[in-house]
Amino acid sequence: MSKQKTDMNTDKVGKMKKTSHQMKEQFVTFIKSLKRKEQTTGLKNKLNQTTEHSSHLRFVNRVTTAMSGIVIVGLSIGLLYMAQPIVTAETFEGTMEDSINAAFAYKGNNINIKNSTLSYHIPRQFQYKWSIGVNDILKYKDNEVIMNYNPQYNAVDMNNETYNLLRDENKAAGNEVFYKNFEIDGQSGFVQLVQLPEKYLLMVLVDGTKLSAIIDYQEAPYLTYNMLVLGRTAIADEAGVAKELRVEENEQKQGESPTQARAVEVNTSDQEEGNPSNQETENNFSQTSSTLITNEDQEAPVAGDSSQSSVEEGSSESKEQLIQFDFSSEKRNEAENN
Amino acid sequence: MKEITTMEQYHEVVNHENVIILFTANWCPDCMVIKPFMPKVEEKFSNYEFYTINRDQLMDLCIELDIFGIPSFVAFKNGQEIGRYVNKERKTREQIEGFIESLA
Repeated sequence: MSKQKTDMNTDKVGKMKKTSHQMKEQFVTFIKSLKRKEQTTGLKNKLNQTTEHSSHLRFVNRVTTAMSGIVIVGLSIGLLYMAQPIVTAETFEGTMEDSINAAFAYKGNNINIKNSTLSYHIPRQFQYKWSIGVNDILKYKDNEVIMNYNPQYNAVDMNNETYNLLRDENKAAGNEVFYKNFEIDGQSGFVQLVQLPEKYLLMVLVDGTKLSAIIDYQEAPYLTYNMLVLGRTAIADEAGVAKELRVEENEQKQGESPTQARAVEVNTSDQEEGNPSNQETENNFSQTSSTLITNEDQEAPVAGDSSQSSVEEGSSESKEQLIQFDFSSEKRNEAENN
Repeated sequence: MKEITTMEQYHEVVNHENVIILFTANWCPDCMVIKPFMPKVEEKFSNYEFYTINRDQLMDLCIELDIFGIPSFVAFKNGQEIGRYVNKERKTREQIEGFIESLA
């Protein structure tokens, strides 16, 4: 009986232990599930937060992308606009016309004096370079373009025949892109652009002052304006002499072409060296105007051998003065300083 | 037309029998105008050797030779200058040919 009781007690204890163990397990499982739930909830919260944050980031990202897009598109448009030639074949003629009209509308008083003999307006962007023995030149944009400035045509005819002669000579060198002759405010001349194999030749002739430059197509309207302003404001103080020469030349060599007349003018001035007033004028010219006297000295060889020797002898004094004048270090320094 | 680029070359060339040197520059508009017909002038006066000098490269020589303007021509024979056509004006083909003919 007692053994039976003992067995029953043992069973009870065993059952209780089992139950207790099961309960423990259940409790542990419950706790674990609770923890897992908690973790899940925490993760869910974190995930929600991250989602919110990322959506905010996404919005910022979109805005930034949009802004970058706008900037890139804007820059591209700007660059494309800048890369586009301002002067095109379609707009060229109109732009040139505008330049010519603007040059004649110029009323500036910024007059420069060259060597006390010639007054003219030089646009600020140009540098006048003393001739240093060779042609009068104007430099522009750090020597990129050199404009040849030659007032010698003051001493030849200013008429359509001369203009056509020069025009045809230029045309023969390439393909004429633009030509316009004008007579505005009593000043006559022409603007011509000729396409050469490599670059373009721009020539502006206004009231006998010839300006020319080897340039790019784009530069033509801009330089036309500046060359016209310079040409039309050039006033030679020795105009009286030039005029006198012109009259003599016209009287003596009627019917000759302007090119021939240039050579004749030389002989005329040399023949009259015996005249004191003329000699004085000539000497003044040699001191003050290198261009004209150089032409007179050097044109003679064209006329023939005999005239060559006489002209060279006759003009040696003025030539020497010219050489000293042009090549002096003072003038060269002056040129470099300019 | 061959180009003279050094003084040594110049001294060597001018000693040839018939030499004509054209003084020029890349920026010179009038030089560009005469450029197209110069080969024909060379052809016509084939008894002369034609050379060019860029005045910007040999400025000292230009000063020495009194090259007042460009385009300009100076003719030499056996080291002696026999003629020059030097001024600031543009030269026509007729003027250039006239100058060369006057050398004979």
